[in-house]
Amino acid sequence: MTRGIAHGVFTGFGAALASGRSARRRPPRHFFGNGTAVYSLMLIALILAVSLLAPLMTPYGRDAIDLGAILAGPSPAHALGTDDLGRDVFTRLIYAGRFSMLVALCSVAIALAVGLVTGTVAGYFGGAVDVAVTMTIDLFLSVPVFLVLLVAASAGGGRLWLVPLVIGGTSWMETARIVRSLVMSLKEESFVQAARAAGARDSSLIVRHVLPQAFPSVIVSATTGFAQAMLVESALSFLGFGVQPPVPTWGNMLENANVFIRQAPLAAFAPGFMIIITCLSFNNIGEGLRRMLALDR
Amino acid sequence: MKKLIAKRLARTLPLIVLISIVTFALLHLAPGGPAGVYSGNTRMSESDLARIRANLGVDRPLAVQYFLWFKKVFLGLDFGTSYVTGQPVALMIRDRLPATLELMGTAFILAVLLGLSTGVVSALRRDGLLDQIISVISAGGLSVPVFWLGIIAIYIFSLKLGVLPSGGRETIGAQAGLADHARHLVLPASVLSIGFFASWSRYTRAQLLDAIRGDFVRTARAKGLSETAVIWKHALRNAALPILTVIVMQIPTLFTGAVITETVFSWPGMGRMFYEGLERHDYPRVLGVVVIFSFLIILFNLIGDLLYSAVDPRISLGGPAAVVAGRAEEQ
Repeated sequence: MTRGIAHGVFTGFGAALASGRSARRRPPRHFFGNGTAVYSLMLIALILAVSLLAPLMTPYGRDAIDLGAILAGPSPAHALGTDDLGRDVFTRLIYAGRFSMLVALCSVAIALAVGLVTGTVAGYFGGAVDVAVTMTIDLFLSVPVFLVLLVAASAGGGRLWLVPLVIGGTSWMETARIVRSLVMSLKEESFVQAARAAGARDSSLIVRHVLPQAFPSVIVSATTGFAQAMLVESALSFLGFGVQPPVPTWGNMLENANVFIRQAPLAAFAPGFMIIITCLSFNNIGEGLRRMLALDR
Repeated sequence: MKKLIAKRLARTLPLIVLISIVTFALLHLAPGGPAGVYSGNTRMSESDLARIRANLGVDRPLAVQYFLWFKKVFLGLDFGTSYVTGQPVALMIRDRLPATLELMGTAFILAVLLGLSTGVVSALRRDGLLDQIISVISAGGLSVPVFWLGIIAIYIFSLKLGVLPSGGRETIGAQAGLADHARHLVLPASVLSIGFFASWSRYTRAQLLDAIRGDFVRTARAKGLSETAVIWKHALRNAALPILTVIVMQIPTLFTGAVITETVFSWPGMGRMFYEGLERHDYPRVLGVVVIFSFLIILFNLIGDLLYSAVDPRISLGGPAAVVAGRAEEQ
């Protein structure tokens, strides 16, 4: 592994050069020069705003049931029709945005925290700690994590707080791996060595000198991780082991979709569509950040 | 070589034991338990429930239960009896394993063929129309929930167009010919392969572009080699290793996808068996599938590592350290 030279505003790229491709790197581009990423960011902002302002966007309550309009088609009163309990699909769709994004956000936060801590400790201290962390990462990557995740979620009985815990607890490995290899190469850098020679303690070396350099890579991995977490949550909820109704998420709105798709196809299309455009946007933003931070190859 | 494989398999046995312990513990954490189904029944007295628990063997201390299960599984390959159907779990798995392997194998081959070929085309026609089309499709493939894609595929191809069956592995009652079988396989295998196709296509494109920018390609061109030779013999050869790594690394995800796809398409495989077992607190069934899936994943990983050393002579099968380090660097 070659070490990179820190340069520009984002001195952190040095870190990203751990893969030794510094010479062939494209020059950093501006995030706002990337049209797709900017539109994606705007789309996310829009979805977020509509979700947060949900009560202003719809005359119906989130769980309001109208037994007179079960599985109704689109009409002026119900733009996207109603579901099998007569609830307004559009209303639930925008409220679901809150929970789907909240769960994904918390999952990513947990995955980041675990990945950062384990990766830093392993990369910085090396030795037995590193072996233990690397083995744990390998363990998590070589077992059917999703099955265990399903078992854990079913054991938890679908409590809302448990879902991000379970998703985050099984998706920290990539962050840990990135951080570990970054820290390993960074701790040999001259500025870290200089700080160490100046008498800085391990904890302050890590927090003040090493971790800020890892920030760009971590933020990119968190952005794409968000999309991943949302997909996992939707699958969990679809199978009935995720967030439980009446709390709506885009995933659990689809739980009965395959049963009622004949009568109410829109109720099945809409939540999936929201998941796709949200995940697509987050992946695009991640890509834009990667380019801006010159992390791409 | 044989000794090496045996050694690797022996090392992975503790892994399987560990995951079985975790799964076992999690299952028993669940409220209700296997007798929970009956607890709402007012005609059942407390002693009836106790008798049911004793019959199922879930009244003993957890450690004892696990030990008994462990002894049967690892000494006799006996996975116990299903709480729900009363069938031996080993038999249920044997019945369903071929269906799962058929679905996963087809999806895997589809994803490899399509992913690698579109990736190469994208890289060679960089920023061209074809590249852009492939990029859009693969970006979508990475962002679509598999189960939703399955539901929509059923809606379009079965309910609306009526050209493909909506589920199952063969038409019940009819003469199960090969064509009938294949028709049932089309939708689930395609849906399952989408995510992998997308990921491998993008990765192949990136790796190939990276290789093309490499010094050795410049050297090869300077030597006067034809462009075809440069791409196929030099660039692709160098891109092959990281691509293979990523493919092997995503094999566990294939099993994940199988659980979801089999559930959506009522495919009579182990994934659906697992899901139903989980819903009905059928612990022996759930544990059996987890153990077999873990074993298969480890087996496929081993095959991947062997392929790995075949592609790159620099990698020896000396030990896990070499392979792990190699993988870590590739990432």
